[in-house]
Amino acid sequence: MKILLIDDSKTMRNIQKSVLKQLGYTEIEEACDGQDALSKIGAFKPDLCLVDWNMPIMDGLTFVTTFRQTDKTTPLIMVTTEAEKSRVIQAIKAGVNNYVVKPFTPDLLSERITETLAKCSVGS
Amino acid sequence: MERGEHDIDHLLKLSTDSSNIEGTLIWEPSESVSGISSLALQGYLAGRNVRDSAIDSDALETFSKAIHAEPLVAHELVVARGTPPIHGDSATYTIDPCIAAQIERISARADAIKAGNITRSMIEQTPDDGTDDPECGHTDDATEPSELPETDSDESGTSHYDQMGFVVVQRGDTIAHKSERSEGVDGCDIFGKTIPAHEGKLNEGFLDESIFVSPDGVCTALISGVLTATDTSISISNHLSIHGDVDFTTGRITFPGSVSVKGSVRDRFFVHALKDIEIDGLVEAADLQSDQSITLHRGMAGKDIGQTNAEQNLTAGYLESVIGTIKGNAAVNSEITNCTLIIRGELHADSAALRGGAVEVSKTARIGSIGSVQGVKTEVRIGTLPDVEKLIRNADELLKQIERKIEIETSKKERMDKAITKPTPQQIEELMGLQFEIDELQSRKNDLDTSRDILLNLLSIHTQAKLEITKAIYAKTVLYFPGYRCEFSNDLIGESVITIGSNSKPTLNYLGKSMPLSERARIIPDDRILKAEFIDPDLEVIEQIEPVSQDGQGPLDDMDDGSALPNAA
Repeated sequence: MKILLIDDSKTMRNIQKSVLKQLGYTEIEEACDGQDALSKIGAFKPDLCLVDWNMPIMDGLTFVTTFRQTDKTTPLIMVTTEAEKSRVIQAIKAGVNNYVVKPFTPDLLSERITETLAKCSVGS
Repeated sequence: MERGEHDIDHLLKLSTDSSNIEGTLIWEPSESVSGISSLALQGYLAGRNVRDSAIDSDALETFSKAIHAEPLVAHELVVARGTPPIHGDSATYTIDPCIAAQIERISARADAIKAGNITRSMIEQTPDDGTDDPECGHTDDATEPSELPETDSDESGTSHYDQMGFVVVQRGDTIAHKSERSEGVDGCDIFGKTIPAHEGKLNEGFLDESIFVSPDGVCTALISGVLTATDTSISISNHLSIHGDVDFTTGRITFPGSVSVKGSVRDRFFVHALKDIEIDGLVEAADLQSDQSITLHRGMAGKDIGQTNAEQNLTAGYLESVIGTIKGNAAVNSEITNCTLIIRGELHADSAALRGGAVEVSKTARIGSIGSVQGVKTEVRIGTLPDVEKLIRNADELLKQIERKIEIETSKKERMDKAITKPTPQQIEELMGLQFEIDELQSRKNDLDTSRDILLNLLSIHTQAKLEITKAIYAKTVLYFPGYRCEFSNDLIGESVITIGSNSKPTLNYLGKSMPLSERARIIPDDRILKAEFIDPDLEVIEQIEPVSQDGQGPLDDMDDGSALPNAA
């Protein structure tokens, strides 16, 4: 199972990576914004992406929209501080499969990842 | 017989050698030579079943002429020859050229030493101290370290110390090449009877079981050891027996088996062996290293530089100015003088005097006396395992650092929490980052705590702070026990036992009476040796670990730095 973490904060990526490692996922790639993520997707071919919303150069929503133009199936989880309902709806419309609001606990992130993978039928 | 014919049978005689390979005609002197010709002689031979191909016609002709010339003289001549057998060659073993060259070099060196062309004094250019000449008897008087040369090499750069006087082979080395025996070719006597050739000998006993011969004749060492090659045998032994001294004749010895030396080990030489080392004579300022045990029937005068290191036990008559680490037990008969020793097991020196130097013992030490009447400062540390203690101290230092960092991060987070009512996305991420950092540090701290507990357990299992004295502890002796330094300003004559009591303080049993050691010595708290008080019953795995395993690799071997600590960074 290959997972791409897209967040401009290295600390946040480390936190997510730590949770993923505890869940047993070891094939993890990192990207610091949407554009960086798009450039890595071709080679890495992730099975799941965790995407932050607010990032420089290309934000998470633009990334999701762009990514979904070519890939309709790979599960995407938005991990963001944007907690307003309208934002959640906007993200879901753009193509995310699940939504985690920061600050999150490791348990919550773990739960959402498991839930999303089960829903999208991607085995670990 | 018809008229004109003559019977020659009574005039001739055919004689053969034991193998019937040669047939000799003998003429008895007679005037009657009529009818004697080479043809008649041939007929005579044919009549005695001598095969045609064996008859020498020229010889018959010569013989006939000789008879006619001097009939009244006895004649004899070999006139028939059979074919002798060609016996087969026996199996032969030719030493491998590389090994043959080594043997030649060693032999030439031995000759040069015998002839006096290589001597210690020539190489070292140092004043004669009475021990230099290998021909001289040995002396117990130690030369000062300053007299020893700084270099092992002569002007040509050759280290005469390093020229080992033995051919040591490793398992798998090619030793020799075998040539198979041959069957030979049968012979035939003058009567046409076959004389069988002898087959060459197999020479199966030429090699012992330490050498394997492949079908193509390559002889390979099955064990590592010293090679002995004579005219009648080749063998490899993993025991090296030296009948004289370890000196320029033998060179420094690195051997993959056990080594025994009947003589002494001279200054600057060494004996490194994978198995036991046993030395009958005196060991001077040499270096002994065994992956098993060392036995010094006489003793060692190390001149402050001689080393003896054993992965298992040491037994010695006496030790003087020796540096060493013994991973098992040490037993010394008469004295331990000015030595720096680390003994990870027990010290058995019940009748020995331990004077001067510093000796560390991990477990019980039984010693005759410590110090001397003259008041030589002597230091003994009991119940110490320095490698493990160092790791525990490292762990303690790291724990302090981590705790300090946790405190800083926690306080920072608390301040932020208090100051912010509605955090911005950036502040949310910052707070999460701080919490993550605190969690990570806490996790490392937990790992380190566990490691420390394991090490304490290890220390507790593999140390025993007990000192048994059979004769005396003299003034100026300093003993270290876990947590304490004990200084003796007066002699304590008689049997005594010092242990750590239930109150964690040193207690003395002197002449059968128990008392705090403080009644006889000055007791000062000192953490040079850590107290091993903690045993966690859950850490069972550690209890199964032996200090020295069969192969000499103990669990402590991997712990000489902080690398064994989990999350030590």
